[in-house]
Amino acid sequence: MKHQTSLRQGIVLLCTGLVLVTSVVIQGLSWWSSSQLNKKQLDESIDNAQNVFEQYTKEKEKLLTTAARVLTADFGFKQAVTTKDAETIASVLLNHGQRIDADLMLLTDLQGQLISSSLSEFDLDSTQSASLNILLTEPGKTHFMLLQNTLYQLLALSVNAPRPVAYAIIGFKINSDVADELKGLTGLDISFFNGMGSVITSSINLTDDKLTPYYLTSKTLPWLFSSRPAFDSRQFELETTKINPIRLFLTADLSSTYEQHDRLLSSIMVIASLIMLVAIVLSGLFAKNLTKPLYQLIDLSRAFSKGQYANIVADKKMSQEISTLFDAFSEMGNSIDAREQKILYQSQHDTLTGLYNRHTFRQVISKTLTSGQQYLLIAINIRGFSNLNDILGIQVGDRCLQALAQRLIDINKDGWQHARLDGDVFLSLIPLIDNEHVDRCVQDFMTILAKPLNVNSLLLNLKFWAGIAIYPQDGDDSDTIFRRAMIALDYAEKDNKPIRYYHAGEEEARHQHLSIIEALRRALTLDDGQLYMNYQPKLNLKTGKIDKVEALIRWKHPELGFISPEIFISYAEQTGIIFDLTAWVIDTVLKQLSDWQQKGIFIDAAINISAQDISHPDFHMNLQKSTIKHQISPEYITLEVTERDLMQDEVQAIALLIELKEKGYTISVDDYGIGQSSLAKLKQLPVDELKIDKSFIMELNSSESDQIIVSSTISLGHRLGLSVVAEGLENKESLDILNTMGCDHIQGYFLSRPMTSEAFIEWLGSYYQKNV
Amino acid sequence: MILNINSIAINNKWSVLPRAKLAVIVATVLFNQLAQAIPIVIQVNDINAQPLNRAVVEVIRQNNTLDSIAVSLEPIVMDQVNKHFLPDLILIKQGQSVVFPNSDNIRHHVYSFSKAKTFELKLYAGKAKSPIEFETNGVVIVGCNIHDSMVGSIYVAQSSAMITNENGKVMLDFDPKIDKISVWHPLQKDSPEARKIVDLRDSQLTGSKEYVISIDINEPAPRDTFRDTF
Repeated sequence: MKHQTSLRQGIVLLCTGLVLVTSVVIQGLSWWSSSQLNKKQLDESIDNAQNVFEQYTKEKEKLLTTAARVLTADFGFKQAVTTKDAETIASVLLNHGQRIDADLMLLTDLQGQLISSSLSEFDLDSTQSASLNILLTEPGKTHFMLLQNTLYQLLALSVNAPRPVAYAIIGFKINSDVADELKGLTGLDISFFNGMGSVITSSINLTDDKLTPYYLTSKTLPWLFSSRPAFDSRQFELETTKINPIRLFLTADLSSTYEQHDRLLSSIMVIASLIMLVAIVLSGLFAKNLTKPLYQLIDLSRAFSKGQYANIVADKKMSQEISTLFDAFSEMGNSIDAREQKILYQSQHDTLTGLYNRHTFRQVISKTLTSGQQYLLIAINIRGFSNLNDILGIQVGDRCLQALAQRLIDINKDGWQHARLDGDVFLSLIPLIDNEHVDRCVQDFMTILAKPLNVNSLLLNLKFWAGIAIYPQDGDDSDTIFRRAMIALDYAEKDNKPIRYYHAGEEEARHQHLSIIEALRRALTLDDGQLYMNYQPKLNLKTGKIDKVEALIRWKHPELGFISPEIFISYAEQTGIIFDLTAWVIDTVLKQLSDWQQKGIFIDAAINISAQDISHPDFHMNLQKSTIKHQISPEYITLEVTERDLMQDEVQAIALLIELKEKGYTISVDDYGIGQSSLAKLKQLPVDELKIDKSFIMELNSSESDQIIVSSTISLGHRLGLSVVAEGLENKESLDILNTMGCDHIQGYFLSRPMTSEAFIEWLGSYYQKNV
Repeated sequence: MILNINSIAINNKWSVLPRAKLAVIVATVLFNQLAQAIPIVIQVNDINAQPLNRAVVEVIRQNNTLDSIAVSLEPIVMDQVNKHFLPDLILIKQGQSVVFPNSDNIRHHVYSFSKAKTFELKLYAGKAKSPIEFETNGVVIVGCNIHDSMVGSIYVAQSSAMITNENGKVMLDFDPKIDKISVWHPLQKDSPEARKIVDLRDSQLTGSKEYVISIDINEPAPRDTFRDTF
């Protein structure tokens, strides 16, 4: 997991870091500048000390010179010197030396040979003699010199009597008193070292073996994790004889500087630490104040994500921005809540009517159904609603649906719940109280619905199909009951029954139905001979010739065996596959006609067309394609449409039939006599032929009423300019009657059963042989 | 073969002399015999080969035979004028006397610690008390105790002696008995009373019997400085 720093930590870190950086920089700068200043001051004080020392020695030199001049000019001194009496000279040196506070008095001859000394047992070694000789070459100038391990500032002056006869050498000791005096003047320690590096005298209180130049230049003091020099020393060689060099060290003891410096640093450190502490505390408090509402907002967001939109009120202590943020959050929560409610409502309800939608209603059913209680699930569909939409417009249609929904809501009976599915299908779940009679309940419900509906000031009398499933006998779970109610509705529409209960086994049958549809679809795709055509000849009574056949489809499924055309055609019509089936039939029949025509047999073929075919926009085009493909003229083709289909009053379909008729196709009304055809309508239809239903023909010879109907139908057809076909002819007597009645064509078992094309050709040959 | 040092004639005897740098001392050396003989020339130079005048050259004869020189009874005068000895160099014969009159209007305290003659004339003004007799030959440096810059030299000769001229030369009559000479200069670096003995027999002759002797001298002390005024 990625490591993330919290805002609070960040703020504390930032503040502390800033203070830390600032204090470190300040500390560094002050340390640097104070060390620079110290260094500069130190340099200056050492410079000063050097100047002071030089000045001091010059002054001393002046004093010495003056004193020596006075001394050497003293007549008595001169007199004593010239006596050459050693003891006298020695006493004079002592005496006169005391006069001028000299620490050392020497007398040499002009060649530098020691004559006398104020010190007892004083002897010069060769080095000292050589040094003295150099001193004598510069009379009146002081030199520093080591004599008997004592440092002297020496001055040589000639004793003139009146010509120089000897040199008087006068010296002052440079001892620790002098060093201390110089320290008092310069503020620095002063040390004198000989050429061997041994200390001669110093203002530093240390034993001689410890105090070395090395000590002064290299001594360090421990400091933190390292060390720093204890002294700042500057050394230089005194103006003295080169033979015995003497080095002077001006030394600044740094410990007091360090102490001051360290005190400054530690006080800065303490202050910085205090500031840091304050910064940590304050930034922590600040960060807490800042992050507390953030945590509240986080909790709030989590609550939002769980769908809890509790309002929170901004704390009065909060800053303006945070309060605004809180308000915005609350607002957001409220609007999300509102939108969510709306979306939820929309997802659960039908937007048009406000009733439950399909999905939600299934859940509602599932929740509502309780065992030991009977329920009716009624699915209703408005009859001819699409027509209503077409005629009055979709808006009125929608208002109509809304009004219907409102009526359902207005029923307002305990436990009644309603939903609208797609289009004009409504569902109502009705609990049956105290084993109330089912039929009564349904009737009451339907009565309420059937009352005229006021839509846009129009009073609409709606008619319904209703499919009903009953819980628990028609299904003991919500899905089953739902499905079966829909199946019942489906059958209500098909059977054209206003109220249709679900019958046990219907769903299973529908499953079989579905498998047949699937097999038919496959058979059409494969076109492997499962489907084939039979042809039933029609006899023209006027000419006595077989000039027509009716093409009839047959299906022999490899596993299911022979399937009745009535079944699979009705399934095909229900599922819309009929269009493909008809197209296959047309193509197959036209190909057959083409084959026959090539054999010289020119014969008409009648093909059965369903209502769905003629209302299909592509039907005409497909038909035309097939005629072109097989080079068959429309005169050879009769399209048989059942009387019921024709009466469906499809404007589009009638227009198509008119068109087809004009193209030369023969339009025949199949099963004429059993439908509810009105003659007025028949008159308007583009019909060429009437085909009297076989129920009137099969027992024509024995039924007088049938004879009357057939006779009048034939004469009616003829009067309307239509030819008349009688099908289902089964005996010679009926044939004779029909001949008498002037029927144009007959068809039926008496003539021939439907047969394959090969059998038909054979049959046709034998028929003409028999009836020449 | 007697070298006569007749006397040293001084003009305006006992009179105040003008402040001349140097009084002209005319020393006449008389050669009794062999006057026409080839003279010995002694050339005294400083170490830079510059001729050195006012050097005193004294003859030292074999076996230290001395000249019998008549000593003038008249004392020689070394005056003190303007805090200077005048003249500041005199050449006298052993046994001769010198008087030190004081011509300044201040007192002087003339003294000498020299081996040849140690004396002291305590603060006095005007005429000196009495002449000082110099019985011992040698160099006597005189000074004034209260005026350090006053230095005078008295060369007390045992035998014939001469002072080099401006060319640093003295001419000596040839005398076979002369085999050494002593040379002294008032400003010599050597001890002020030391005389340099030169053995002529060891010395190289240049040209016509000319002996060159060099002496290292000090620069003459600056005069009339502020200090000298007091």
